[in-house]
Amino acid sequence: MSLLQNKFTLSAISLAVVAMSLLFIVQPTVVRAKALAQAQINGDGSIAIFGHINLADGTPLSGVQLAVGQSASQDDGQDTFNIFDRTASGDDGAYKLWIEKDQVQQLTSDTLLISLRTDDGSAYYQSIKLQPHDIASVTITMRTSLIPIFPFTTFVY
Amino acid sequence: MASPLIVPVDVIVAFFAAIFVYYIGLFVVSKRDPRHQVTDDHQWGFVILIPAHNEELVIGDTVRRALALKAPIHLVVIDDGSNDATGAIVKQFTDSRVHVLTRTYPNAKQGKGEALNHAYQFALAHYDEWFKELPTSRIVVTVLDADGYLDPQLFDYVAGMLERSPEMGGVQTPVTIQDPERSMWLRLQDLEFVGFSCFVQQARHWFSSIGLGGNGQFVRASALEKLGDRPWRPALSEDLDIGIRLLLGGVKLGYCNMGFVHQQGLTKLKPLLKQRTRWVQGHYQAWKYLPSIWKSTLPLWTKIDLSLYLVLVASVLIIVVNMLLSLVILFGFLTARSDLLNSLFAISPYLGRSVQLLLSVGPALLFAATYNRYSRSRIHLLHWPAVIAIFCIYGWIWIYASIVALIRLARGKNNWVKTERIQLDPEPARK
Repeated sequence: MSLLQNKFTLSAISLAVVAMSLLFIVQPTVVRAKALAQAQINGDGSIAIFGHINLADGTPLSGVQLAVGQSASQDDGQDTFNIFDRTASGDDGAYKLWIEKDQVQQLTSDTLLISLRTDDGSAYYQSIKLQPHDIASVTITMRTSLIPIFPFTTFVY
Repeated sequence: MASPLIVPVDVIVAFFAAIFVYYIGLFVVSKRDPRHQVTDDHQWGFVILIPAHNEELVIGDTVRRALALKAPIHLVVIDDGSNDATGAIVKQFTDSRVHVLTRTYPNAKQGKGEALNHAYQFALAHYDEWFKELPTSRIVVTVLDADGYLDPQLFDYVAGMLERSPEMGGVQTPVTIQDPERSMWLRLQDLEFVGFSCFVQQARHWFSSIGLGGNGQFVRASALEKLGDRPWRPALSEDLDIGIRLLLGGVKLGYCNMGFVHQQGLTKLKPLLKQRTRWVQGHYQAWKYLPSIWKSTLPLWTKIDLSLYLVLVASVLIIVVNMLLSLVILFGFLTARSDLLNSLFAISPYLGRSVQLLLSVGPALLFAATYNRYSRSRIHLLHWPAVIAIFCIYGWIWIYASIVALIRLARGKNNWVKTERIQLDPEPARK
């Protein structure tokens, strides 16, 4: 009798197939999104950081928490992150963060830090320079997959 | 790293969904009970044509089993250029119902269709002698492979169908593989045949779009007369070809699932691939009938289903594209976008992935449900997930068969490659 006719082998394979199928169905969704950010210095001295967040297939991603700030070193050697503005991406994936004129005076360099926090608590940071045409880009993974499984595809006649 | 290119895959998702819905539709239709009954009148005659080329391993048992049938039969064995003991074995049978025709070079090995035509012409000349005063509408020509045997009750049920439906000219019976428990190869082929016959063909009985098979076809002699004195054409799938021409000629075909024609399966990959390549190539050859099908007076449902049956052989190529795309996406070189699946994912990711899984293996589930209903060698429920998964992988042989068939078609290679035989141990008696 071949191995594939052995009832224990078939039972074991069946168990593995059922387990894999269930894992495939219940696995956390893998969502990879890309956030783009561009800085614009306005005439009144304020700075706007704007952009959009889309999934890899182009679908806008809403509800991602964003903040813009700048790291600063304190006298005791500890680094702090000064947050100038917070927002959440809208339904169209767009967002806008503001650094007011009086906050601009607190900037210690021309590099800002954008932080993104997803609903599973993951945090991402990306720096952006206050220079024309500098576009910051960060790829976010919202969740991680458990086991990548590709279902079979079969042809029947 | 540059963003992966986004590839819209809704066309592929919609295609698989449509295939699954189509098969679900056939499955539902197949549940309708045809209420087969045996014949009330036993004035029927059956001519069983058995083409044989180098069948010494199996022909003796085949003839012996056929002679044990209680039906009024005559066997015509066509020894088609054998260089083994096929002819000698059959000639040992002294029963007057056994007739051997020997084909020699240059007429031998011209394909199964030519062998059947030779036998048909021989039978045509002997109808009056064999079946005294029976009209040709009550003489049935049956094709049986040299490794096969028919369940005895089939003859009464086929006669019953033809009796009750005078417009019906032919009946196809389901095929099953002998001893599927012997190996997984045989089990998978049995799953194909029983799953297909007892579900898809059963549904086609109601659409009148039955496909005749190379084994287990029963056709009234009067229906065959409409196709001339050489009804089988030199096609790679001569069974599919004659079935379509009968339908186009206004002959209704039916399906009888009250018994099986048993045939030998293949236990090695290479001959299996050769066999399936021939079938696929024969299928593509039959596309030439598509214009005639649509110009004919066949009912619309028959035209649609028959066309789908012919055209769906090309779906293998879409499956190949899908599999290659899946691999490329898996490694992150491309990103798939499906608004159809995204709409399901928006409701629930579990729903979206369940639908993905269902579209992938759905047809196999329908085959499995059919198999356990009709097979005489059922599979334990606990083993079904394994068998379905293995069956899905086994189905990839159609990918090879399709690619090679298309290459052969492009090169004009239409020669017939015969399926190899093996000798099975004697089958235990069935209760």
